[in-house]
Amino acid sequence: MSTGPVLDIRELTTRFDTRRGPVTAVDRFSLNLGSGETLGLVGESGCGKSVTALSVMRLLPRPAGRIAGGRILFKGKDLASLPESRMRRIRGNEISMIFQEPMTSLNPVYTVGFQIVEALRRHRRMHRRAAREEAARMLSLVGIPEPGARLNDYPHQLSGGMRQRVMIAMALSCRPAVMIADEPTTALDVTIQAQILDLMNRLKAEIGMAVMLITHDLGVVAETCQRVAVMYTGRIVEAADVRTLFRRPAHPYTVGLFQSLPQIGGRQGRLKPIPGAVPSLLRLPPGCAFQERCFRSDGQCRQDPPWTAVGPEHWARCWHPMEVST
Amino acid sequence: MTEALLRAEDLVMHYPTKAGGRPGRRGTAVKAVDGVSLAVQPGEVFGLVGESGCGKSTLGRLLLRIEAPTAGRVFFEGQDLGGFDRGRLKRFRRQAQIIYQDPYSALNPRQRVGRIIAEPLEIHGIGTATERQQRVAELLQVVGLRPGQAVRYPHEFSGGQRQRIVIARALALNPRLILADEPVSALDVSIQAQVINLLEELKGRFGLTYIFISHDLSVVEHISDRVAVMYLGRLVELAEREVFYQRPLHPYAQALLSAAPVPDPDAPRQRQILKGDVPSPINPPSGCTFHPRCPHQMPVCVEERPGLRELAPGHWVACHLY
Ligand SMILES: Nc1ncnc2c1ncn2[C@@H]1O[C@H](COP(=O)(O)OP(=O)(O)OP(=O)(O)O)[C@@H](O)[C@H]1O
Ligand SMILES: Nc1ncnc2c1ncn2[C@@H]1O[C@H](COP(=O)(O)OP(=O)(O)O)[C@@H](O)[C@H]1O
Ligand code: SF4
Ligand code: SF4
Ligand SMILES: [Mg+2]
Ligand SMILES: [Mg+2]
Repeated sequence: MSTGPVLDIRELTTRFDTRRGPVTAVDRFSLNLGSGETLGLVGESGCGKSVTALSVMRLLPRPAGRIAGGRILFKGKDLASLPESRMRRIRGNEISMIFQEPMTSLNPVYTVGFQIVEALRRHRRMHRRAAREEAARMLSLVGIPEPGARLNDYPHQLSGGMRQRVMIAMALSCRPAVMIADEPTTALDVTIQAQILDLMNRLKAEIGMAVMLITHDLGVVAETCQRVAVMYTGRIVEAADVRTLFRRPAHPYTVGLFQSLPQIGGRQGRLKPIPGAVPSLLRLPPGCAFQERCFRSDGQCRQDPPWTAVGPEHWARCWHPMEVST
Repeated sequence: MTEALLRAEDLVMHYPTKAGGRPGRRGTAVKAVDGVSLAVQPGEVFGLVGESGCGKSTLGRLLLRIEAPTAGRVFFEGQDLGGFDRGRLKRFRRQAQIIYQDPYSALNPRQRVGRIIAEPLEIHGIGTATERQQRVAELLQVVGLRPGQAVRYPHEFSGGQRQRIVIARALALNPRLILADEPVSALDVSIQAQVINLLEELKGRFGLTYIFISHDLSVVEHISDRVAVMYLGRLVELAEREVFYQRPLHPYAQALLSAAPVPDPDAPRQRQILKGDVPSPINPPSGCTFHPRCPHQMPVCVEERPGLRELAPGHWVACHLY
């Protein structure tokens, strides 16, 4: 399947300067992505998923946000330190991104056709005529009926599901090696979500790209990803292939996430929430950030927990991971 | 069967569309709710599901008479809300409260939490200032917060805590019925579970009845006794929870259930993917409004609107297949 990682993120650290002091939104984040693979990045809101994506794309809001450390290796280059002029040639071309709310990335004053055509002309150096044909082909590929006519529509004339399809068409039009999809279906209804996930799965196979799928929905992960990384307060706390992570979660936080879900197929009495709430990044406790909510914490957890192999290709950042031996 | 706590008959809500329509098409309207009848029994949790824009929130507002319907009637304990004068409507409000989705915008950022929770008591002129303060302290405890937190402002609380404050305020007047419109949709799963547990606990403790609106089918399955599915302003299926989740009959309900992602990588997937989008409620399709997307469409479906019929005791479906 894969021949070494296409994207290799090593110890990425991203900070924001806020009025109340510096915040480490992404903390020594390491992860790699093989071509043809879909990796799920999950975690609750504010844990740093979007900041990770924006760091890789080098789209952090400036001047507040900056990459403070680490490397983002892509085809032998370190994106973390690449000059903006060279990054511009990679962004939207070799690595593209789709956002949760497509209206934020589609320009409301241009037709969708114009926007796709411009991207094709810029990145694939196509002529206008050929680019327009290719744009129509892309729209039909993502399942938009009457693609030729739709090219003349403005974004607001499309439904949420159609806009997300257009976003995907744009993101794919340059046949990227890596696609980062940040909550691509969170704003959509389930029947439309099913259409979009199905579409992404098919196109991924066709184009052979690597996908980093960011979501808070464990159902979406189970249906689309081969590997999963779980984030909490800016750090990856567990990583494994999808079956292992769902069957034998090792980190107490991952265990808590699964227990919080209402079970399918009936009422099981009370749910088992994780107590408390995610701590503020400005007031993290020393050591493990999950300790105040953890059912296994003890004194040792006031020290930074190690990244521990708990099984084959299965790691957890925890002093007392669950017993996962098979 | 006991008398329904709340009953709706043929509710219709058409919002006239404003400028932007072409001349000659002045009569157009958004058919947000288009002929809904239902009955909510005392002590039950009545789940209402459906996709964005299908009319769930609008139906909720009609049921609680926050808006008057274009047509149709709502009865609370057998009394027609449409015939209520202001005084009786105010008394009805004490009995039926609403919780909205967004715990951020539901709370006035400049008011202390104690004041927010006491507000319904003040509006209804209940108790002295001291008694209201005591009641606020009690309510904070009931929802799992500390009485001392009454002096804080909403921004000092997390999302889940804010939803607890919203719930405390809804409980202030000892209501019998609570309409919860997507009460946990804005919350992370671990916090969502906390709030669902709280809602279930309060229901038992105070003998509440809930109308629970959500687009999350697993949350609705967890909490509801009966489930109603809405599509383009109409109910298409209504059944007991177990019956509905084991054997949904309406093709739209089947598609909805099969589309919900299952958090299990080994779950069998026979996903039925619907074509197209939900049509606009301004110009809904003829006959069965689901017909353009329905895999079982028949000629009659384009012509005739299927009525909601009781196929088995308590199991209502609006579809020509049956
Ligand atoms: N005050 C209003 N004026 C005009 N149209 C309205 C109004 N309120 C709702 N609508 C329309 O009525 C339809 C139903 O809306 P409603 O808010 O009830 O849907 P919903 O099922 O609650 O959706 P969601 O899941 O997105 O909350 C929509 O097409 C909406 O745009
Ligand atoms: N522009 C910004 N300025 C300051 N802090 C930010 C900014 N963007 C994000 N953050 C902080 O970084 C953390 C991670 O945010 P984000 O990556 O958006 O989370 P999510 O996992 O929900 O996508 C949060 O604590 C957030 O408040
Ligand atoms: S390190 Fe300690 S506190 Fe953190 S998750 Fe593991 S057991 Fe819990
Ligand atoms: S009435 Fe016809 S179109 Fe409508 S759901 Fe039933 S079979 Fe499908
Ligand atoms: Mg995000
Ligand atoms: Mg609504």
